[in-house]
Amino acid sequence: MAWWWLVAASALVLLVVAAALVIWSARSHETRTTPYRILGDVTALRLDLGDADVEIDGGASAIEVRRIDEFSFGKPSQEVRDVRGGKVSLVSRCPEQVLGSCRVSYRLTVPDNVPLEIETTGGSVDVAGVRATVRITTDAGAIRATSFCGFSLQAVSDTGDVSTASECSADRLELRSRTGDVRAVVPAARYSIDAQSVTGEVRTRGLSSVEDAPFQIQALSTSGDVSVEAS
Amino acid sequence: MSSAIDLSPHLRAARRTLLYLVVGLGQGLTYLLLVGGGLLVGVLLAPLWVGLPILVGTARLTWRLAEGERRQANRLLESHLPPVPPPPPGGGVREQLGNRTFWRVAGMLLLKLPTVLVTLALALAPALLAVLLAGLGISGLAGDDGRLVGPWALGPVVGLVLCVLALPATIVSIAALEGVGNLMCVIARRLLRTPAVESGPVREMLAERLGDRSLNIAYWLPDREIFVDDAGRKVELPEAGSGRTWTAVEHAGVRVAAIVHDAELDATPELVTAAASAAALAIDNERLKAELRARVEELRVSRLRIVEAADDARRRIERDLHDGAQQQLVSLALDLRMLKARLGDSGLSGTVDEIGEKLAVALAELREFARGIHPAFLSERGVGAAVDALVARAPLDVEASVELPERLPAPVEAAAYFVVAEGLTNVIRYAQTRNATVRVSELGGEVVVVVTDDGKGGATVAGGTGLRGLIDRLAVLDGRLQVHSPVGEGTRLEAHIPIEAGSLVAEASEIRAWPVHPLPPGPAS
Repeated sequence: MAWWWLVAASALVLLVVAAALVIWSARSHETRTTPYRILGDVTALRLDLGDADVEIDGGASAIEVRRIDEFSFGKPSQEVRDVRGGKVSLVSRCPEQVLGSCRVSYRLTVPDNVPLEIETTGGSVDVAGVRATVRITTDAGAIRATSFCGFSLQAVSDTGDVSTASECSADRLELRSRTGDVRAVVPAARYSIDAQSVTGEVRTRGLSSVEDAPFQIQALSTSGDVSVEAS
Repeated sequence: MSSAIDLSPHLRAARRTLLYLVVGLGQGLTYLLLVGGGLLVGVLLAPLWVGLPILVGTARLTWRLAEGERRQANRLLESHLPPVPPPPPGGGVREQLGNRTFWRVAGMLLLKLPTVLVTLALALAPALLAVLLAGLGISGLAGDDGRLVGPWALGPVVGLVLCVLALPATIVSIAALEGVGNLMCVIARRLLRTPAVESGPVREMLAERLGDRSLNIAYWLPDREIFVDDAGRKVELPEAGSGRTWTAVEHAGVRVAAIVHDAELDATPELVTAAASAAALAIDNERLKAELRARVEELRVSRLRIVEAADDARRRIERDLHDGAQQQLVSLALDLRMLKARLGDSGLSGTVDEIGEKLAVALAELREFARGIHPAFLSERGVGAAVDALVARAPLDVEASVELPERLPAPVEAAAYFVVAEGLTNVIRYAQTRNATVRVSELGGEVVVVVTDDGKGGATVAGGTGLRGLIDRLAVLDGRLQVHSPVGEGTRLEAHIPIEAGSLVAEASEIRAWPVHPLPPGPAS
């Protein structure tokens, strides 16, 4: 009998602690939006955002950043900004938490011809209407580029899908994923196409590969499907 | 805490439950494939007739798997379930599948995998929490590594708190496993219980309850201060370190028996004691039967002792005759010869000769009488020499063969000798032949004595007191006598006397060696 009293007391202790933490977490949960503008002559923008999702819209006159933080226990993500020789670097990380929540997302507008270098681990990257060279690397996040009209686009993901839709023919499209699908929609033109998948399905529609073409498309996946289509 | 609350039974129950669940994963999958697959394939193929034997085979397999499952539940969950009955006789689908017990048992097997998966998840959740808390706590005690626990950095203080919280989590995980074990026990009892053996012998019931098929009950006979088995034979309780141990059973404060079981029994001593107490009344009843059997056994042995005592008396009479009256008659014969020499030719020498001849006849008759009572050869030199002497005196052509590796117990030697003596006497008196054979040998734990002749046959046990006496003498030794005597085809007299271990003769030898047995002390528990 004493044993079961001990078990009940232990369970009660755990329940009380768990309930207190849950209530505290709920009451301390907060969403904070931080908008700011990066002024000056920016020659390049580098984003290293960890698990944060990011949406980038092109065609703006200046770089505007809107950071949305969701966190509990008063522990938001940490952002480090750096400007060197006109190259702006933003690094954001949530604190490593055993208990608690932290989630951050970014929405940016960027002017044309500002090269972008975006790196995330689990966050997805959504790029729309950007007219610049873009390099995107993710571990698990999906990459989506729409209305792209830059010089080159390199989008590499480990497990996420990669999907691009170009408004104009980029000199080089390099799209790769290890397990995700890769899809490219490009305007009709002469392309040198390298579309391959080890185990997935490869489909090319409305385009044929030309050796001496002015534009290059490389779409590779290890186990995902690969699709290159003319818009 | 462990001094106030004994954790060991709970830890043991949790460990067994975990083992049951982990092993159950593989078993559940096997049951699902064999039973579920077999029934499914059987039903699908039933229209082609091939399915019917598959259904019957699956049903039979289900019963056997259920028995294994029951044993496992008994061993690990202490469910105390009686054996699942064997598959019903008959090869028809209706006989095999047409009862509710089958479907209940099959349900247990088919539900095992999903049940184990759910309960394993339930049981392991607190255990994983405990491991997580302890791991984080130790990590925090080692120093701040930058991680946050809620609003706090994972440092020594938070680490200490997490380690402290790991303790109730551990207690809850043990209780969760124990609770899951009880739940599985209830499920097993509901689905695997059959009324088969609940009313069976106490030993079987206890063996099943305690999960030890080698379990035995030794019944205490207070008058003789010995333990006996259910056949009434004396048994010794196992000594410490022998791998076996025993638990005393008392009824109304009086010792009635001891449960002899495996020292490494899965059941706890408390469970053995509880099971023993619950069955104490039944054991006491069994003890009374065992006591009765022990008395019968003792009666058999005492009958043997009486025969032995009678043989001893005959042996003494033979010796007394040999050393007393026979020696005096021999001495008298010598005196007569001396008297005849002194008398010379006085005319009385004829009378002395007549007396001498009568004396010689009396001496011969006395010798023959003494041999009939108990031949001295038998006591001194065994069956072989005694049979040789018989054969030498018999007015027959006897082919004798005695093949015994060693001397036999005295009652057996006497019985074998008298079988040969009676057999040869009958040949001489009734068979009307001069040919006989005698064979004495040890075969399959028995002494076999065979006397045959090629005479007129027709002998019957009812024909005289000789064979009847032999049958009685052999019966005392648990032996038997066969008489095969068809008319005109000779007679075959065949006696079998068991002497192997466990026979009455062997037991009697042991019983004579029994000391007065003191009440042994209880085993260290």
